[in-house]
Amino acid sequence: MPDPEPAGETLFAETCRVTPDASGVEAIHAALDRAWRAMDDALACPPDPLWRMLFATAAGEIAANIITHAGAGTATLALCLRPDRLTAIFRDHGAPYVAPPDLEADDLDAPHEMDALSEHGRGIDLARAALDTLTYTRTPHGENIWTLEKRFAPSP
Amino acid sequence: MDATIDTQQNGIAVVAFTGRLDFLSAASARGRLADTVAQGSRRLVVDLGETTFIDSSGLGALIGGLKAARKAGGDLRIARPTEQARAVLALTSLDRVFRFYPSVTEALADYDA
Repeated sequence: MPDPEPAGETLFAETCRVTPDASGVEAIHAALDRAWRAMDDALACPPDPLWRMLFATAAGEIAANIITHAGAGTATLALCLRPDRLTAIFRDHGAPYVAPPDLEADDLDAPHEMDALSEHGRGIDLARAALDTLTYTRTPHGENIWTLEKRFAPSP
Repeated sequence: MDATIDTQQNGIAVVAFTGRLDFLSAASARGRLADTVAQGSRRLVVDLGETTFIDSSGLGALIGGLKAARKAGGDLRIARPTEQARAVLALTSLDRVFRFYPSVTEALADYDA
Protein backbone atom coordinates (compact mmCIF):
# COMPACT_ATOMS: atom_id res chain seq x y z
CA MET A 1 0.00 0.00 0.00
CA PRO A 2 1.23 3.57 -0.57
CA ASP A 3 2.28 5.45 2.53
CA PRO A 4 -0.79 7.27 3.85
CA GLU A 5 1.08 10.54 4.11
CA PRO A 6 3.99 10.65 1.69
CA ALA A 7 6.80 12.77 2.96
CA GLY A 8 8.07 15.88 1.30
CA GLU A 9 6.85 18.79 -0.69
CA THR A 10 5.10 18.48 -4.04
CA LEU A 11 7.61 19.30 -6.78
CA PHE A 12 5.28 18.85 -9.73
CA ALA A 13 1.58 18.14 -10.08
CA GLU A 14 -0.60 17.92 -13.12
CA THR A 15 -3.99 16.50 -14.02
CA CYS A 16 -4.90 15.67 -17.60
CA ARG A 17 -7.88 14.19 -19.41
CA VAL A 18 -7.43 10.77 -20.98
CA THR A 19 -9.84 10.20 -23.83
CA PRO A 20 -10.39 6.56 -24.84
CA ASP A 21 -8.40 6.76 -28.06
CA ALA A 22 -4.94 7.44 -29.49
CA SER A 23 -5.02 11.07 -28.39
CA GLY A 24 -5.61 9.92 -24.81
CA VAL A 25 -2.46 7.81 -25.01
CA GLU A 26 -0.59 10.79 -26.44
CA ALA A 27 -1.83 12.92 -23.53
CA ILE A 28 -0.39 10.42 -21.02
CA HIS A 29 3.01 10.31 -22.69
CA ALA A 30 3.06 14.12 -22.98
CA ALA A 31 2.19 14.50 -19.28
CA LEU A 32 4.95 12.05 -18.37
CA ASP A 33 7.41 13.97 -20.54
CA ARG A 34 6.57 17.08 -18.50
CA ALA A 35 7.08 15.10 -15.29
CA TRP A 36 10.52 13.99 -16.52
CA ARG A 37 11.46 17.59 -17.25
CA ALA A 38 10.24 18.58 -13.78
CA MET A 39 12.43 15.83 -12.29
CA ASP A 40 15.45 17.06 -14.21
CA ASP A 41 14.80 20.61 -13.00
CA ALA A 42 13.99 19.81 -9.37
CA LEU A 43 16.22 16.87 -8.48
CA ALA A 44 20.01 16.82 -8.29
CA CYS A 45 20.00 13.08 -9.02
CA PRO A 46 16.83 12.39 -11.04
CA PRO A 47 15.75 8.81 -11.84
CA ASP A 48 17.46 7.24 -14.84
CA PRO A 49 15.87 6.47 -18.23
CA LEU A 50 15.06 2.86 -17.30
CA TRP A 51 13.19 4.01 -14.18
CA ARG A 52 11.17 6.39 -16.35
CA MET A 53 10.50 3.72 -18.98
CA LEU A 54 9.18 1.38 -16.31
CA PHE A 55 6.87 4.04 -14.92
CA ALA A 56 5.63 4.90 -18.42
CA THR A 57 5.10 1.20 -19.12
CA ALA A 58 2.98 0.80 -15.99
CA ALA A 59 0.95 3.93 -16.77
CA GLY A 60 0.39 2.66 -20.30
CA GLU A 61 -0.85 -0.70 -19.04
CA ILE A 62 -3.36 0.84 -16.65
CA ALA A 63 -4.56 3.25 -19.33
CA ALA A 64 -4.93 0.36 -21.78
CA ASN A 65 -6.93 -1.56 -19.20
CA ILE A 66 -9.24 1.40 -18.60
CA ILE A 67 -9.70 2.17 -22.28
CA THR A 68 -10.16 -1.38 -23.55
CA HIS A 69 -11.98 -3.07 -20.67
CA ALA A 70 -13.78 -0.48 -18.58
CA GLY A 71 -15.62 1.29 -21.41
CA ALA A 72 -15.01 4.34 -19.33
CA GLY A 73 -15.30 7.31 -21.60
CA THR A 74 -12.88 10.00 -20.51
CA ALA A 75 -10.64 9.22 -17.54
CA THR A 76 -8.31 11.54 -15.66
CA LEU A 77 -4.66 11.11 -14.81
CA ALA A 78 -3.14 13.03 -11.90
CA LEU A 79 0.63 13.03 -11.58
CA CYS A 80 2.41 14.09 -8.41
CA LEU A 81 6.18 14.29 -7.97
CA ARG A 82 7.68 14.37 -4.48
CA PRO A 83 11.34 14.26 -3.49
CA ASP A 84 11.36 10.47 -3.25
CA ARG A 85 8.51 9.22 -5.44
CA LEU A 86 6.25 9.74 -8.44
CA THR A 87 2.56 8.94 -8.09
CA ALA A 88 -0.02 8.58 -10.85
CA ILE A 89 -3.72 8.31 -10.07
CA PHE A 90 -6.16 7.27 -12.80
CA ARG A 91 -9.86 7.83 -12.17
CA ASP A 92 -12.71 6.67 -14.38
CA HIS A 93 -16.39 5.82 -14.14
CA GLY A 94 -16.33 2.70 -16.29
CA ALA A 95 -17.05 -0.88 -15.34
CA PRO A 96 -15.25 -2.23 -12.27
CA TYR A 97 -11.97 -4.04 -12.81
CA VAL A 98 -12.45 -7.79 -12.77
CA ALA A 99 -9.37 -9.66 -11.68
CA PRO A 100 -8.39 -13.01 -13.20
CA PRO A 101 -10.29 -15.88 -11.55
CA ASP A 102 -7.47 -16.88 -9.22
CA LEU A 103 -6.79 -13.35 -8.07
CA GLU A 104 -8.90 -11.30 -5.71
CA ALA A 105 -9.57 -7.78 -6.99
CA ASP A 106 -7.82 -6.14 -4.06
CA ASP A 107 -4.88 -8.53 -4.10
CA LEU A 108 -2.83 -7.02 -6.87
CA ASP A 109 0.39 -8.14 -5.24
CA ALA A 110 -0.29 -11.77 -6.03
CA PRO A 111 0.91 -12.64 -9.53
CA HIS A 112 -1.38 -15.13 -11.18
CA GLU A 113 -0.31 -18.25 -12.98
CA MET A 114 -0.72 -18.13 -16.71
CA ASP A 115 0.13 -20.02 -19.86
CA ALA A 116 3.63 -18.99 -20.95
CA LEU A 117 2.35 -18.44 -24.49
CA SER A 118 -0.89 -16.67 -23.62
CA GLU A 119 -1.44 -13.62 -25.82
CA HIS A 120 -3.43 -11.69 -23.19
CA GLY A 121 -3.61 -11.01 -19.47
CA ARG A 122 -0.14 -9.72 -18.63
CA GLY A 123 -0.90 -6.03 -18.28
CA ILE A 124 -1.68 -5.72 -14.58
CA ASP A 125 1.14 -8.07 -13.58
CA LEU A 126 3.54 -6.07 -15.73
CA ALA A 127 2.40 -2.76 -14.21
CA ARG A 128 2.77 -4.18 -10.71
CA ALA A 129 6.26 -5.47 -11.48
CA ALA A 130 7.33 -2.09 -12.88
CA LEU A 131 6.17 -0.15 -9.79
CA ASP A 132 6.66 -0.21 -6.04
CA THR A 133 2.93 -0.21 -5.37
CA LEU A 134 -0.21 -0.55 -7.46
CA THR A 135 -3.62 -0.33 -5.83
CA TYR A 136 -7.13 -0.43 -7.20
CA THR A 137 -10.23 0.88 -5.46
CA ARG A 138 -13.86 0.93 -6.58
CA THR A 139 -15.68 3.64 -4.68
CA PRO A 140 -19.33 3.44 -3.57
CA HIS A 141 -19.99 6.17 -6.13
CA GLY A 142 -18.92 3.92 -8.98
CA GLU A 143 -15.50 5.41 -9.54
CA ASN A 144 -12.44 3.31 -10.32
CA ILE A 145 -9.22 4.62 -8.78
CA TRP A 146 -5.87 3.17 -9.78
CA THR A 147 -2.90 4.46 -7.78
CA LEU A 148 0.58 3.86 -9.17
CA GLU A 149 3.63 4.72 -7.10
CA LYS A 150 7.31 4.33 -7.79
CA ARG A 151 10.05 5.52 -5.48
CA PHE A 152 13.60 6.67 -6.14
CA ALA A 153 16.58 7.61 -4.02
CA PRO A 154 16.17 11.16 -2.73
CA SER A 155 18.75 13.58 -4.03
CA PRO A 156 21.35 14.56 -1.43
CA MET B 1 3.04 2.11 -35.60
CA ASP B 2 4.31 1.26 -39.09
CA ALA B 3 5.38 -2.19 -40.20
CA THR B 4 7.79 -2.90 -43.02
CA ILE B 5 8.35 -6.45 -44.20
CA ASP B 6 11.47 -7.43 -46.10
CA THR B 7 11.59 -11.00 -47.33
CA GLN B 8 15.11 -12.29 -47.87
CA GLN B 9 16.19 -14.58 -50.72
CA ASN B 10 16.22 -17.54 -48.33
CA GLY B 11 12.57 -16.87 -47.39
CA ILE B 12 13.20 -15.36 -43.96
CA ALA B 13 10.98 -12.32 -43.39
CA VAL B 14 12.35 -9.34 -41.48
CA VAL B 15 9.44 -7.45 -39.93
CA ALA B 16 10.34 -4.02 -38.57
CA PHE B 17 7.85 -2.22 -36.33
CA THR B 18 8.41 1.53 -36.08
CA GLY B 19 6.80 3.64 -33.35
CA ARG B 20 4.57 2.41 -30.54
CA LEU B 21 3.62 -1.27 -30.46
CA ASP B 22 0.84 -0.96 -27.91
CA PHE B 23 -2.79 -1.91 -27.33
CA LEU B 24 -3.88 0.43 -30.12
CA SER B 25 -1.59 -1.11 -32.75
CA ALA B 26 -1.25 -4.70 -31.49
CA ALA B 27 -4.11 -6.12 -33.56
CA SER B 28 -2.59 -4.68 -36.72
CA ALA B 29 0.85 -6.04 -35.80
CA ARG B 30 -0.58 -9.47 -35.03
CA GLY B 31 -2.32 -9.45 -38.40
CA ARG B 32 0.84 -8.49 -40.28
CA LEU B 33 2.79 -11.31 -38.63
CA ALA B 34 0.05 -13.87 -39.29
CA ASP B 35 -0.23 -12.76 -42.93
CA THR B 36 3.53 -13.03 -43.36
CA VAL B 37 3.49 -16.63 -42.12
CA ALA B 38 0.39 -17.43 -44.20
CA GLN B 39 2.20 -16.16 -47.30
CA GLY B 40 4.94 -18.74 -46.79
CA SER B 41 7.54 -17.11 -44.53
CA ARG B 42 7.68 -19.43 -41.55
CA ARG B 43 10.96 -17.98 -40.28
CA LEU B 44 10.62 -14.42 -38.99
CA VAL B 45 12.95 -11.83 -37.52
CA VAL B 46 11.13 -9.00 -35.74
CA ASP B 47 13.27 -5.87 -35.67
CA LEU B 48 12.40 -3.80 -32.59
CA GLY B 49 15.23 -1.30 -33.05
CA GLU B 50 12.84 1.50 -34.02
CA THR B 51 9.99 0.44 -31.73
CA THR B 52 9.78 3.33 -29.29
CA PHE B 53 7.44 1.63 -26.82
CA ILE B 54 6.00 -1.84 -26.36
CA ASP B 55 3.31 -2.89 -23.89
CA SER B 56 1.74 -6.20 -22.90
CA SER B 57 -0.60 -6.08 -25.90
CA GLY B 58 2.39 -5.62 -28.18
CA LEU B 59 4.03 -8.61 -26.52
CA GLY B 60 0.82 -10.53 -27.16
CA ALA B 61 1.12 -9.73 -30.86
CA LEU B 62 4.68 -11.09 -30.88
CA ILE B 63 3.53 -14.26 -29.12
CA GLY B 64 0.76 -14.63 -31.70
CA GLY B 65 3.37 -14.38 -34.43
CA LEU B 66 5.64 -16.85 -32.65
CA LYS B 67 2.83 -19.39 -32.36
CA ALA B 68 1.85 -18.96 -36.01
CA ALA B 69 5.48 -19.40 -37.10
CA ARG B 70 6.05 -22.46 -34.91
CA LYS B 71 2.82 -24.04 -36.12
CA ALA B 72 4.19 -23.71 -39.64
CA GLY B 73 7.46 -25.32 -38.53
CA GLY B 74 9.41 -22.08 -38.16
CA ASP B 75 10.24 -19.55 -35.48
CA LEU B 76 10.07 -15.86 -34.60
CA ARG B 77 13.22 -14.22 -33.28
CA ILE B 78 13.76 -10.71 -32.01
CA ALA B 79 16.50 -8.37 -33.17
CA ARG B 80 17.64 -5.07 -31.65
CA PRO B 81 15.33 -4.95 -28.61
CA THR B 82 15.43 -1.53 -26.96
CA GLU B 83 16.10 -1.14 -23.25
CA GLN B 84 12.37 -0.70 -22.64
CA ALA B 85 11.55 -3.83 -24.67
CA ARG B 86 14.17 -5.86 -22.79
CA ALA B 87 12.80 -4.66 -19.46
CA VAL B 88 9.23 -5.51 -20.40
CA LEU B 89 10.22 -8.93 -21.73
CA ALA B 90 12.17 -9.66 -18.53
CA LEU B 91 9.36 -8.52 -16.21
CA THR B 92 6.90 -10.83 -17.99
CA SER B 93 9.42 -13.72 -18.14
CA LEU B 94 9.01 -13.73 -21.93
CA ASP B 95 12.77 -13.36 -22.22
CA ARG B 96 12.73 -17.14 -21.76
CA VAL B 97 10.37 -17.63 -24.70
CA PHE B 98 12.04 -15.56 -27.42
CA ARG B 99 15.59 -15.61 -28.80
CA PHE B 100 17.28 -12.22 -29.03
CA TYR B 101 19.99 -10.80 -31.25
CA PRO B 102 21.82 -7.48 -31.16
CA SER B 103 21.39 -7.06 -34.92
CA VAL B 104 19.18 -8.26 -37.77
CA THR B 105 22.27 -9.64 -39.50
CA GLU B 106 23.09 -11.87 -36.53
CA ALA B 107 19.48 -13.07 -36.26
CA LEU B 108 19.49 -13.99 -39.96
CA ALA B 109 22.87 -15.70 -39.72
CA ASP B 110 21.74 -17.82 -36.78
CA TYR B 111 18.82 -19.20 -38.79
CA ASP B 112 21.30 -20.51 -41.32
CA ALA B 113 23.77 -21.80 -38.73
